[in-house]
Amino acid sequence: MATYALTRYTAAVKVGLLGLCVCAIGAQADLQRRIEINATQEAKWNPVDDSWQTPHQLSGQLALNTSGSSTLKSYLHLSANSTEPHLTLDKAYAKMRWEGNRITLGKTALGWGQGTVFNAGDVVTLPNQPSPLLAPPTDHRWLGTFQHPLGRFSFYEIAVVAPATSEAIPTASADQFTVAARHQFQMASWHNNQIETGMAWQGTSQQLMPYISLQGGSGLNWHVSARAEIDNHYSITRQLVTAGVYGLWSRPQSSTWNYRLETVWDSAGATTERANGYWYRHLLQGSLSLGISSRSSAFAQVMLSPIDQSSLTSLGMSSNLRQGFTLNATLSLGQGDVDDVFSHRRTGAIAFRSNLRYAF
Amino acid sequence: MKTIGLRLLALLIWVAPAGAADMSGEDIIRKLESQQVFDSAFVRGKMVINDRFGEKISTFESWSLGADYSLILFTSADEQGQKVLRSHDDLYLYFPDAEEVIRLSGSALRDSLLGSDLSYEDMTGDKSLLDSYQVTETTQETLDGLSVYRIKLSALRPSVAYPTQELWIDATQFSTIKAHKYSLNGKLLKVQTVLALSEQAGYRFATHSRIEDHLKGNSATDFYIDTIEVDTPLTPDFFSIQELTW
Repeated sequence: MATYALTRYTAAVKVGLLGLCVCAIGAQADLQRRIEINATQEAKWNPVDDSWQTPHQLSGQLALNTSGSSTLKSYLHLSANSTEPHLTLDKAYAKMRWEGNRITLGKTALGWGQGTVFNAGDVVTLPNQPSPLLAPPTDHRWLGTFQHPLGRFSFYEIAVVAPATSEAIPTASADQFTVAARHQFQMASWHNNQIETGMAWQGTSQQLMPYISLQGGSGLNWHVSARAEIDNHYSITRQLVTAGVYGLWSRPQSSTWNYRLETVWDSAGATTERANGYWYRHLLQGSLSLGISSRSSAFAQVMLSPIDQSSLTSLGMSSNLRQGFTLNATLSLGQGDVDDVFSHRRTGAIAFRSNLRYAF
Repeated sequence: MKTIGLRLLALLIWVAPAGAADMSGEDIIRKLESQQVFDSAFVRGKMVINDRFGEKISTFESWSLGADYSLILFTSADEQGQKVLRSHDDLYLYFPDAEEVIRLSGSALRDSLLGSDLSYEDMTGDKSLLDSYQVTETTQETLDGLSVYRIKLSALRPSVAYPTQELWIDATQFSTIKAHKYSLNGKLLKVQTVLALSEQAGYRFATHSRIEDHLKGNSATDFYIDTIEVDTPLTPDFFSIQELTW
């Protein structure tokens, strides 16, 4: 009965937060809106019957946000698509600040840690992903945060985060929430390198996760993150280390190469080959993109599993055709044996995806 | 904080000075930069990128303080909410959808801003020209009916974006009319030109200037200023990660 009451209570809190966002938007005159329409066509090879699947989707997104106030800000993002014909609340939050302190309430993302593909410092939204390939690019959660500044690039932050769910108005008991805190600062005595350290208690797995992320840019932009996962019996059940380098090569003001190399080491990952779809102890990722012109760019990305020596290669391009219209296309190719993590014998191992976006 | 925050504004803003005669190239540069008398500025404007595919418009708001601090907020639909913070030689890019901050150092300042013909360095400020360049030649000539100084500059260190520059400076107003920027082998990389002016609160503004990238062929970025407020009450504390992620 207590759990049921608490579940109803947390659902009410979330509805209340959504109402707060809507009211904050409505209360502020300086309202910006953004509408985005996406048409996506895919082609995926199915090796089971040597056929091609060709799913397509039309989706629309509406974003409303307020601006102009230095103390109150709100944002609302709704979407719908042709395969799931109902409105989805992607993001809804209100931010308030006073004397540098900030409170965020609502559904949004949290960017903790360092790293784009592998990020051991992300203890809040992706603590137990079975594979980075399965993780969504951005995980928006119902949450509340409080941030207290200590300097221009230094602050404390605490967060209370609801577990991930696909429910429109999710419910969860209090013991399923994640409670986390972090401290981020730069060390002037160490080339202004950035240090972020903190800890999270994840209710769903009943684990404590201390972490540290370092980021620097002395000649080369780099980052290293590490976290441990400790259970109720004070045993370390998992250790995760991620690292990466990234940067830009700019030819004299004409074209720009962006590069990023990242790697992950996971103590809980498999060290020998096993059935496909599982997490391996080591993975490498490299990407290279080229800004061809003011409107077009191309990229190549390789995800490599050193243990089974399989890989997933993606080649893509993005082009701004006209004001607001952007065409994206990606060709992906898996290379590996049947049981490898990037097996070519898996649906979608050979895939083409095109997307036309119109934003206004 | 005797230099302005937006280096591009060095092309765009000046106050009417007294004339000068028999000045050295260094004196002319100092005079030019001394006209940029404000410490801080807020600008609302737009960039129009023109190339063979047509035009692409990006609108923005920016705040700047001195040569080392600036914050740009993009307001156009394609980039809405994205921000770029410069603090000394570090750049911080903010992507609101993922609440992600990416920090870049050093050479990133030369990267193209939203694919335009401007680099972050062009947009967000730099130190005095004389900190990075030496004057190698000064001549006086006529440009479009105006008496101008033509000054050639050579870089003092290899890390600057343009090894040599050529400036045409109005000999009466001490304002930059045009600038050519060259590569190490003398190839013309960029041409910056002032196309329209207006006057407000004692300052004269180039409300329309054009930056042409000669390596990109038919590419040019037109830069319009709709609103400008100078000497706004900004402190370095404003240029923080808290403001970047607000």
